[in-house]
Amino acid sequence: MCPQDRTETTLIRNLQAGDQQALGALYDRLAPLANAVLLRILGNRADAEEILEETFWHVWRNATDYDPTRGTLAAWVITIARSRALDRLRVQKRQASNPAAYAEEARAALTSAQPTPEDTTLQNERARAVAAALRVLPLEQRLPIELAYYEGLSQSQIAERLRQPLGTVKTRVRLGFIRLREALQPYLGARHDA
Amino acid sequence: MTPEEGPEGPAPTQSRQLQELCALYVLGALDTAEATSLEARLRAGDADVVRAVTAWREIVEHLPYALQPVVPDPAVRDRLMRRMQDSSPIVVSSARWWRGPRLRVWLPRAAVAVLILALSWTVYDVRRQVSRLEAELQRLHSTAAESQQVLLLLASPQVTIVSLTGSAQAPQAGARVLWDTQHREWTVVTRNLPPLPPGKAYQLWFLTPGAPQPSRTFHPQNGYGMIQVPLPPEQTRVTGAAVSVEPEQGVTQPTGDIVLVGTFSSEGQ
Repeated sequence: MCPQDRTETTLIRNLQAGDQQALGALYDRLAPLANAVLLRILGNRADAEEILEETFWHVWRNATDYDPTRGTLAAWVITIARSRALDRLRVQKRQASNPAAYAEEARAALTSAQPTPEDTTLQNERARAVAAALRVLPLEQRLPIELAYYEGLSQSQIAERLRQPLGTVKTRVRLGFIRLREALQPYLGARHDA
Repeated sequence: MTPEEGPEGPAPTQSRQLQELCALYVLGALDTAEATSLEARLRAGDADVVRAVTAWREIVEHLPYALQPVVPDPAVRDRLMRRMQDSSPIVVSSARWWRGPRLRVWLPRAAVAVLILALSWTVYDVRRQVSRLEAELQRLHSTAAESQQVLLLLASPQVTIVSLTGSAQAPQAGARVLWDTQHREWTVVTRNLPPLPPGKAYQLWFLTPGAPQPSRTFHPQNGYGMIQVPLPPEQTRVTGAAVSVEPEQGVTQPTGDIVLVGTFSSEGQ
């Protein structure tokens, strides 16, 4: 078990035992990343921070739901945040009602983003690797993946948005995943904390 | 591995379709029917599906790392911590339930509540026992006083003892009349009198050459009783005594069964 695994194990154990400091520590480690995802999805700082608070509140109240065999603690937290943000997005239908304003707000939010000082070398390396992998991914493969992940669109909606046959969308997602897996190979197959 | 290969190696058409399904599934982009179908295979433990979903899920989990982390407003953390401290309700694992903050707060409170309840019950029970003992003590005092009185009467030279015997209605019953000639007073001690019907009492009668003279009513306890009554005026000649069953308030002439009766050879015998 690597030190990061031990840290995560201790963190979740303390969290499940009701240790308030553990939630504080988890927040400090994961909130910047979760906040970035929320900003990317919602494009609005206030909405993102509201969902961020609700996400960690949910984590606090339901810490025993976390199953380490199904993924890292970070993945669990990000999944909760993303799911809530997409729910909010579907309700608001912000993009549909005012896509230009949404895009502008999202760009502004991301431009003003400051990196967290607590970033570790591994995090930076991984972030760079993922960013690089996505950057070199052909646009036709990256777009359907991002539309699904950050906008919560279904395969049919993606096909409609991109004006591509559904079969083409499916193939491009699969190919994109394969390329990402190749690029991220050093970071896969082991547990990585935030 | 070529770009066409999925998580499990070379990809024939069927395998490619499965890879696509699983990739879209972990992105949450499958239509409902396809997602339901795939989840059924997952739950059934379909090895191909489990392997593909696990592999692609790991890719999806890495997507956020492409974003630059954004430190949220510190107010969010403050709100979260305040909210947590204000309520502190957490679902703790069953193995560590006793370590949860709620338990740490409520366990001592519950213990104090139980202690208070136990003490309250003890105080109530002790008070009840004290009341019962006080009543018993009073009864014993009363009995002792009566016994003392009977002893004094028995020792007195002015007291004559006469007996009343049970009638056919109360053959086991009996009584002694301690006749205090000096104070013209009777102390009647009864035994084995039958239980009374509801609304009834025993009434003592002075037997005279004319009609019986009514005396007081009484309720013996467990067949035993003691009453003290003054004798009728001196000009009335008392020739005996009787006890009958009468209404609670007493009557002027006997109406019920006679349970005890006795006659004297002469007054003050």
